[in-house]
Amino acid sequence: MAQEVAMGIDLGTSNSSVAIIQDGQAVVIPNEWGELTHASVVSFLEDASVLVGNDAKKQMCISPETTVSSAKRLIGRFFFSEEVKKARGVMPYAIVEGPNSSVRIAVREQIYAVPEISAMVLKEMKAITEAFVGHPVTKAVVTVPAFFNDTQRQATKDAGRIAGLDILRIVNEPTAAALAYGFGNNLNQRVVIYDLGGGTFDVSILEIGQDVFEVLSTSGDTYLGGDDFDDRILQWLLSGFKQAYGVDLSQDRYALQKVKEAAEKAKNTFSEGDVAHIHVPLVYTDAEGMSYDLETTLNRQQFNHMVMDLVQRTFKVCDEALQSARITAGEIDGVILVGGPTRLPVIRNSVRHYFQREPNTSINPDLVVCMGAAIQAHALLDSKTSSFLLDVTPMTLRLGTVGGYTEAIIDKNTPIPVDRTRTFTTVRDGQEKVNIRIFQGESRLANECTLLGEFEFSGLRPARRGDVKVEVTFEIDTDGIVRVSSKDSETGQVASTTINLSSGLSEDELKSAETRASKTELAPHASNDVAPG
Amino acid sequence: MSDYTDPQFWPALKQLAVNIDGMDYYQILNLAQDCTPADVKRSYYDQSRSLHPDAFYQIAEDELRAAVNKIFKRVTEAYNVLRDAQKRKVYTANINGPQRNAMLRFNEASEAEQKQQEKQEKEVTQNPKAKPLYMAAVQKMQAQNWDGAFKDLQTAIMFDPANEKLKTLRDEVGKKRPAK
Repeated sequence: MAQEVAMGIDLGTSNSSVAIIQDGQAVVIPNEWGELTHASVVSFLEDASVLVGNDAKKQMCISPETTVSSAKRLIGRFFFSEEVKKARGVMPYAIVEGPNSSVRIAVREQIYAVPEISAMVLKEMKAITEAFVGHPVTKAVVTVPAFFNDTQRQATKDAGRIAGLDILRIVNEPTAAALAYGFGNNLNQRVVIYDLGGGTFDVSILEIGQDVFEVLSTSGDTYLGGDDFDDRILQWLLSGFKQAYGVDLSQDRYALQKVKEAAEKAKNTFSEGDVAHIHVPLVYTDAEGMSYDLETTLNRQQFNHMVMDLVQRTFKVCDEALQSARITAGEIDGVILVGGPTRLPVIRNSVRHYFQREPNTSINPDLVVCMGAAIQAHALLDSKTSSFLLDVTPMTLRLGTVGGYTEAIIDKNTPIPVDRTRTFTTVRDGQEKVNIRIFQGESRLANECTLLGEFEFSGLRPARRGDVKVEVTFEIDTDGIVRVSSKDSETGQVASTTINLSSGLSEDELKSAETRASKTELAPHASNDVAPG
Repeated sequence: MSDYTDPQFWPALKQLAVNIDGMDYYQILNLAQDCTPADVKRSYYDQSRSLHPDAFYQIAEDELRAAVNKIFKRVTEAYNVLRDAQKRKVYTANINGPQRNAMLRFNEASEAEQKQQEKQEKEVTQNPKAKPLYMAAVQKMQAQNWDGAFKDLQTAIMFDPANEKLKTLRDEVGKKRPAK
């Protein structure tokens, strides 16, 4: 029998990667072309198969409407949320509203829930691993940003289930990074993880006591990432072209995609070089049939200037995290950089300046998270867990009260797992049910927080008002997932719970998604030659 | 790490899951009430090594996993209170008082919200002479000295006569005053 293997999967906004443990070492698994990172892009082909990864990314130009990217920005969100509104403005694929204000994606006359899209990326990671080890693999640890809320975590777990994976654990990306660096090793240290991904930024402060990884605080900005850096260049290119030719390229999806790619490439240039030469040939053809190229240069200073406010925003988040952990930048023993954008010298220099020390960069910032996830996956599988992850909840859990207000139940940065109980009293004679809404966020105003769901506890015993007391327990587990349960204080009888409003998938929806996913074939990769969509 | 193969281990664990409801945070973390903050952290780490749910991932029995989960949640809760000097002080006083059994779990009013409330209280009056009187009244209210609080508020209103918030508060306190 083949030795059991558990994967560590970094399911990123822009790129994903997978690692396993071999001979005690974390090994990042290459696909058949030797690529270690795979674009988190899913392209639906004409023959009903799906193409995932770097080949799918090439389809973004060829067939933008049938190619879904950055699904992580949408996962676990309500249709009416700001982030979804923003995505609808920039994404070429169709984002539509599903039941209960959930988000769905319409491609080739099919409607997909967001976890189904993420599931295809996970399936690809599974396929890459299976091709490498030569046997089926189902167990995996999947990472999420530390700042993900409950619904985003739950949706990520759902994606795993749809992909046919057994998700051992959801681990926070910064914690995984700390594991990969092998901190601990008989050291007691305080480490900062500065994680700037494609779409999110978060920073965590960990105290490591040998084999115990305690998160002291975590803070983040879910609207800040490497994509915003690309966007600055993109806007600069677009306005430059408009000034020169009087043409707004953003109106042309094809041209926009080309310029976007050029902007991303230019940004990547600054990881090493000082000047980016940007050339997009034949980006625009006028009414007379004259074609124009977009051609310009951008130097590092100009670029740094463009993004300085974004860089500054990351340090505001660092300030917050340090304050919550009740320590100063000087008490930090190490800084770990995670995420491709941290290769930019403007980031490295600013981090060095802020923390007054050289950041740790010996492990590839694109791969460090999946390597850490693999370490934890292996540890769980072995039941010889050798590292203990003590995490905190990134956001305050709140209960909706009258008049659009909320009341804090569990403060942010409270160590998890945790539970808190609140008692509710009936307010009407013969009241049969109690409804509560729960939120996550830092505002007392409900509409400034994220709604997690509405729960209904029914089947209360008939009695005069005030006679029935319902104990509601709010629990956050080690994966950061919230559970709500209730019982009658006096009789101990458990009230039945119904979730009335949730952006998540119901059991039925999950089952049909699993069936559909098992029937969906992953398209083979072609190195250069891609079948048109 | 704990020795699961010890035949005594599982019954002891199940028993602990039951007993933990009657234990205070010091007992849960196995510490004396005069322990140092470093002791609190050390004990939390030690308990994590033996009771973290991840270490029991392979255990198939739901009942045992639930027991571990319950115990570990309480360990985390104990740490969260005892690591904070302010909370620890209040909690220690609570469990050494007559209400001990009702106070074993710290009833944590949200810190941030408490601060906000305090801020709001401070904003009740900006009048430099009324303010100290109002603050004194709040303290007397906490001590359930309604008569004293009422008098302070009355005087505060003399300095800040247009303040409706002070008047409302005075009337509320007035109702609680023992009838003479």
